Amino acid sequence: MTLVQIFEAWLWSFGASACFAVFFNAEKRDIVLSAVLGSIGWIVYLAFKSSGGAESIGYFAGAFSVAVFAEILAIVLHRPATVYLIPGITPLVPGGGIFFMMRGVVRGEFSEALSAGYGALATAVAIALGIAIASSTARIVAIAVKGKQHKIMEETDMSVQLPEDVDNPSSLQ
Amino acid sequence: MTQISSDDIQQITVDAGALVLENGGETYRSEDTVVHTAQSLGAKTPSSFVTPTVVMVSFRDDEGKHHSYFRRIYRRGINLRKLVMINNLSRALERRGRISDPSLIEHRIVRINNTPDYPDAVVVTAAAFNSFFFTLLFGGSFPDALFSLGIGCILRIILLLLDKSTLNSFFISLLSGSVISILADCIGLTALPVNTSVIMTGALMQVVPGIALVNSIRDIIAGDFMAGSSRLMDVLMTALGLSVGSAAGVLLTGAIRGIL
Repeated sequence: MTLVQIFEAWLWSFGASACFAVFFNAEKRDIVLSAVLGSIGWIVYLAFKSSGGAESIGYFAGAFSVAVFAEILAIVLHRPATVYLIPGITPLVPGGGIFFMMRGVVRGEFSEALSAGYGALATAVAIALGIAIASSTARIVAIAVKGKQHKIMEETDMSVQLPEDVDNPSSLQ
Repeated sequence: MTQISSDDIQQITVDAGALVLENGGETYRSEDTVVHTAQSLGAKTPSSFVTPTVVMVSFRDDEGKHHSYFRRIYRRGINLRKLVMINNLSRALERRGRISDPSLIEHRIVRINNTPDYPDAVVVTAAAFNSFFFTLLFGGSFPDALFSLGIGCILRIILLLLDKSTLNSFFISLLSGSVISILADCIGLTALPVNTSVIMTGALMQVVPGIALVNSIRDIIAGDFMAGSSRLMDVLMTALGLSVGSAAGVLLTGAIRGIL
């Protein structure tokens, strides 16, 4: 890929994700951030694709990088990761594939329908796996960090009010 | 501490869960929100079950009586602003432990529900440029992208007008498919050097259920099989509607060619 091609791809994917973020009614700062994520995901996908690997590996890597950055932003800015994730993966999602599959079914072109459908399904599974792995890792890290904080809090401040013990039989009286 | 009535708990928790689901939150996030809200209102052993069409909650009160309640969900969209607000509420409840006044949460939920969206003009502009950028992303030329921009703009205006009606989503996707294909094929009838299939794909991106397909697979990976498979059905029906609709363009241009 030449530098001009990369710049063009960056610009188009940035615009496409930004427009989707406006559709989904995100706040102004979130629109810019999720558009940056969208362009990162698309560039990563293109890099894998042009290096000659399998398409689904490219989709996996693109979605994984979007999800990792979305989780980092979520922790830094105290927002759900979905806010950055959903507009961020829009350039990658197999919307066209699922449409061409159903169009093949309607027209009676079953081999076209099958290949488009398998393509769309493989893409969707690759993207979903990338997201699932990134967000599970983030959850494990969050639980580890939270557990540490909890211990420190209990040691230093005994007046912290904990919620009532739900399985305490004496509270059933 | 004053006793919160079980009716209030049922109402508020289901409201909170429905808000997450209706604005595009994940299934597990909706369930978590219901459980956190119920716990902070003093319900014991709360549990929740959510699919794309229903939110259910069930818990035990102080006297050991069991309660459960559900709400049917009809309309689902994606509204990230409301999702951020409901997430903040859920986090605050989790941090604070028990809450004595349920009307505090009720007011917050009403306020989130009434948050305004972007004005229609902004949404139409975004839709137009969305089609423009996706056409370029899929390898279209600049003239292709400009035609796609026009089609995307017209499509979103029609969708906004239909938004107030009570048409079901299958019929709406049928109509969107036919609008896009008729306009794209009419451009193809002229002698202009354009690629109609790229124009169509670019304009379709705003209605095609790509995000929904990925979300359904995510639900299945997370173990919410019921939610995942019903979302998958939703995706297939939307795609079927769009493609049956897109046959309209082929039929119309065929008829016009026959007359000429």
